[in-house]
Amino acid sequence: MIDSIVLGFQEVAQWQVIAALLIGAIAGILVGAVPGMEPAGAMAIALPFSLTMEPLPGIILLLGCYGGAWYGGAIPAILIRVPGTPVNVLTTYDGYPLAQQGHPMRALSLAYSSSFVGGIISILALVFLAPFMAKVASNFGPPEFAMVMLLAAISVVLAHHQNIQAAILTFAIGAFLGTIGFESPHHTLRYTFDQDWLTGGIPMVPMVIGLFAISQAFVLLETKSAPNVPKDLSSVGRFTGLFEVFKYRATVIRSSLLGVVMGLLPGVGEFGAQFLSYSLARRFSKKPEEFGKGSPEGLVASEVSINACTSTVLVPLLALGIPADPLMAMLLAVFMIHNIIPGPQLFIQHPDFISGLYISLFMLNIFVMILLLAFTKYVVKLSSITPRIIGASIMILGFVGSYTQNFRVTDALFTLAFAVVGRFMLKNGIPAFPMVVGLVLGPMLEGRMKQALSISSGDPTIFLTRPIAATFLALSITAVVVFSWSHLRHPKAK
Amino acid sequence: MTEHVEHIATIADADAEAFEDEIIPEASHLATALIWAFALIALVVLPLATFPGKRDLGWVQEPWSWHFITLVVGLIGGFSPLRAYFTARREPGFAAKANLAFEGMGRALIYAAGFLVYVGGVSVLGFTIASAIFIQALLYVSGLHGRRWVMIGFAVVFVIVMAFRVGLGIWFPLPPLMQLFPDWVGNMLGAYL
Repeated sequence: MIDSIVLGFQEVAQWQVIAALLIGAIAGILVGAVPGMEPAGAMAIALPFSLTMEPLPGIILLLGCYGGAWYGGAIPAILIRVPGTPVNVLTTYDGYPLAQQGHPMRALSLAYSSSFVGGIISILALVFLAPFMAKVASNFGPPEFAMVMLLAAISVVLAHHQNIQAAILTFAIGAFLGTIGFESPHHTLRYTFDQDWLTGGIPMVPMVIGLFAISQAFVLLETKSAPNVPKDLSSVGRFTGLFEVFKYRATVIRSSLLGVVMGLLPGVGEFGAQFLSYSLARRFSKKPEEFGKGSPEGLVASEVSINACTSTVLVPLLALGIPADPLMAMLLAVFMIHNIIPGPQLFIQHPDFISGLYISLFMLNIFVMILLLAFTKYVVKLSSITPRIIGASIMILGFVGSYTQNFRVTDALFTLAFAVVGRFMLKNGIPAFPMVVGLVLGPMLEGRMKQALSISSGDPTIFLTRPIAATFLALSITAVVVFSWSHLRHPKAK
Repeated sequence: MTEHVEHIATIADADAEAFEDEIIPEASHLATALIWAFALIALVVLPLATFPGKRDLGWVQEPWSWHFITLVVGLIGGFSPLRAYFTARREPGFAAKANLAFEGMGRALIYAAGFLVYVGGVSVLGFTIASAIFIQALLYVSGLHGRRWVMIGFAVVFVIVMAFRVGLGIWFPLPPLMQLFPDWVGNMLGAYL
């Protein structure tokens, strides 16, 4: 145990890791602070560069973009009532009124400290849950993994319950696209139509850059007005807000637990956590009438729960090797390129990497917190950058990211095709996330299914006769039945 | 006086994203129907796009089986918006609303065409020159005119080149344009173009 911790510190004490921590933290804050930019887009652009780094700095760079954005997203949400990232919607409810009452710095500090508390609790949950889950998963064979993947796929689809039909369709198309190219066990080509550039399949990096970054750039290039941000931001209330979070201990504990649990569920994550957390905080509050009018407790509930998810979403990836959302799929790509296979063996074969990751996550939260406390006044100004210049910059960065990985023009063309498709989907409310998860999970699920059925000589009852596989299958069926039943009983919920 | 928020949060608010378009159900159904049609075409060409397995390992192991399963699941799961589209398409005003699915796509296609030209331009002019021209074109088309935006555009490209070409050392092939100049020009500027 002590050895692992020492090895972890050795991993972290490299300039590449420290630089990745700092750049990731800054990039994440900027992505959050500039309305219209999303962590998925920033991670998509950073992904090709992270693939060229050592595994830990590469992972940390992406996690910095991801985790830092949730902190930074509170800034425009509180000051100009525009969520910096989609998950900061609820931060506007109480953060903005609180700022309008003359406490902008107090509101920002409260949001930062709430995010920090949520983030640290999430890391602690990761430290305890991931090895436990990996230990359980060490008994898994292909049938069990296949059923876990099936459950993950169903969870991702059900998480898009507002447009579930489109989510099923896009997940299926993602799974279809993910298996284009060379296949085993027969070693034939599928859907390549004698085109060499399709033999390797649809590459993930150009796809995510197109779907998330360039399609968002199209939107930004059409956004005419820049938000107005307060010119002068007084630092009064900075420390009041910082420690105010501890006044709401019950809310912190409840929201953290919700965030931790929701983070474990594929596809649910921050959205589910914050809305449930906010609703419960309001219900149990001594001053529920203040919610939506500048309640510090409401702000705490929202921010704690968002950040309490950020590390637990790593649990299924690290322990089972299953990416629960596109962001985790990008992390999986970094693991794979370095021949590090996430799953139970990861904890045995690479304890130094795991310890280094945990320590880096702690440091990331500390870095982000320090940067925000020191530079909020300057970061705020970024919220008023003209969106069109950001869109134009993303177009060029997107090209750099997609082309320079393999120097293939076809990769840039894939990016372009998925950008147009992504814009069309975004315009019409069709979720793109299931498509990316399908692209990554599809081939894995196919492989595990085929392995499992090879073991049983084609007998599908193998999924029923093995208790763990049967349990996951039952959970999948239960999730579908409960969801369908609730929709049939309450059709308005659609 | 603080503006009062007369709204209790639900998970439906997750869709109320900034910088996102207003979703029109008729347009969304048409868009889903088009994606559905793509899945159907993929299923129809399945016999032409896959080869039979070389050994008899059962139908599940056949190369076509996974695509068949995923596409059929997608077609069944996504059938409801298609049905909604066909049910409602005779209603008055439906076509106008449904066609809003393509609103703004013309501009997106213009940017995409520009990106395509940019990709070709990089292989001729090199990354830096092509990027400088591309960003100016993007800013102009998006309505940012004037000397200030020209300078900002060049500054953005300068920062990107310094960060990625010089800082991270990302390699690009020397552009054919350099063949027009003496070798020393290419040697000197190669790392920046």
